[in-house]
Amino acid sequence: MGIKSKPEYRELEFDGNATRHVLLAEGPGGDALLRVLDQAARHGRDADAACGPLDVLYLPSAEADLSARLRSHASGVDTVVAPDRRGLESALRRVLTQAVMGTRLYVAGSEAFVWACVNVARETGVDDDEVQRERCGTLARPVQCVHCKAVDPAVTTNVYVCPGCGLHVFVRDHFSRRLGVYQSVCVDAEAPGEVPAIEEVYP
Amino acid sequence: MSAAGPIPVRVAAIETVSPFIKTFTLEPLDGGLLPAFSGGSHVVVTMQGRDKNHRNPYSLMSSPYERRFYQISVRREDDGRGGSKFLHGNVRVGDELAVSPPANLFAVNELGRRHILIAGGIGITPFLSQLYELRAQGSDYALHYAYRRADDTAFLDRLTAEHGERAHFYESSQGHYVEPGRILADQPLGTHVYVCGPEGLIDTVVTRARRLGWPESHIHAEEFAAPPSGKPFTVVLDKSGDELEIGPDDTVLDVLEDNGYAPDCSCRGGVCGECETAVIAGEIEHHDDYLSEEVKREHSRMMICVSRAASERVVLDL
Repeated sequence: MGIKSKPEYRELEFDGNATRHVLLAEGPGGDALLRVLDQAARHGRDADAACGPLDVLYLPSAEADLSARLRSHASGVDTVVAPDRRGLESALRRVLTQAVMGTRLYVAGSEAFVWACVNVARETGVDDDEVQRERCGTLARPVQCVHCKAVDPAVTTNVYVCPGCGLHVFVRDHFSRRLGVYQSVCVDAEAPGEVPAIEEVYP
Repeated sequence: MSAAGPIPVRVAAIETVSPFIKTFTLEPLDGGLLPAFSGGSHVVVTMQGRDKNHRNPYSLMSSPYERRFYQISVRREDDGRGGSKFLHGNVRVGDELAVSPPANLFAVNELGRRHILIAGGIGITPFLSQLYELRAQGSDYALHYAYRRADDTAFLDRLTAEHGERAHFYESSQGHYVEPGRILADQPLGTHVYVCGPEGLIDTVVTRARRLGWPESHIHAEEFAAPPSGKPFTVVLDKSGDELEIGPDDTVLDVLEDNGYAPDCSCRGGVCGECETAVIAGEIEHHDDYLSEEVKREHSRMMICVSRAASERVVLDL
């Protein structure tokens, strides 16, 4: 397995212990939210009790737009369809400033999306164990070059040309939770010009 | 001064706080400064009794910003294993004791946005050192302190003077009880709860917090659990071949130390995990909160600070 810092993801699952639920997704991650909404409805029937307030914040992407299904499924749920990442982040901030302890976040989408949401949540005092994370759709990695610190938000290959410094850099499993990025290092430092075959490994 | 070994100290002052509680001020023998510590830390105090050595962990209640002395408050436990009775009855000003370097299993979370401290009885002590930090750092905090009778605690005036409306008091003999459900409801994100005191209070607070959906990372508990007594048994040390007899009131750890061994240990209360020891043969009566239920069932490991043998002999990988 190797590197401990490499994040793990799992299927979102409705948490009956939480007293408020904030559901966030990008593109195909909407499917994961529909599943959680089903589980919430079932939990409500089984426990014969309301499951606490639910918020849905959704960002359609080029890969998928499930906003219509989310809106119709989640009647009685406060559903926000954001126009862009910044819109979604400010909606999340608004929700979290009024939230209290017992709130659970459920995030589904690309790794860049997931960790952008985690970082907004962290600003309001939310810890990692209050956030469930599921990776959906693209495997593209947000990566920071360790040499010039430039971030490429969606790298799909094992080696890429850093947009900041122009070096050929190799994408490692080393992950910074604070920045929400993997780290990349110069691949031909020892033997300049000897760059391995570039393959799409994070499609 | 070696950071790892015990630190010789002299008892500089003893204050009788209540019929059951005494506060001891401990200064380093060499007149220097004691190791720095953070709020919520404890030290293990070693006392040389007539028949046996006592080693008890106590929370440091003095200011983390004061390194010329440490203070601990000790409640006399008449049914205990003798350490607290020894401190109350035999230790005088000027006597020498030894303390371990401080360790912290109950630290304030530095990233927390708000801190709720819930103390029961003598469980107030780790909070006394934490409160210095919280106040100095301008943190958002509240103290909820439950006790039987106001006469039994001398900390009330000081807490009121230093913390004003942040301090809340519950005197159970007057019918005032701490209500964790009400305290914990509707707390903003980033709030942490800390509880120290009797098992019942800890259980109530932890259960209540979980039921309100609080994640484990925001729930902090420290129990003052003394090692239980039990039937005597024999410990066989596999590596040295030594056989040691553990009396009804002894712990394996104490007897090992009395015989010149120095196993890793810190909390002496079955929570920190330092003294985890592999068991080669024998059955264990587990008293710790550290090992998983699965490991406990296998009898493959034991925490030698609190757990005992269920069999007459136990062979340890030592």
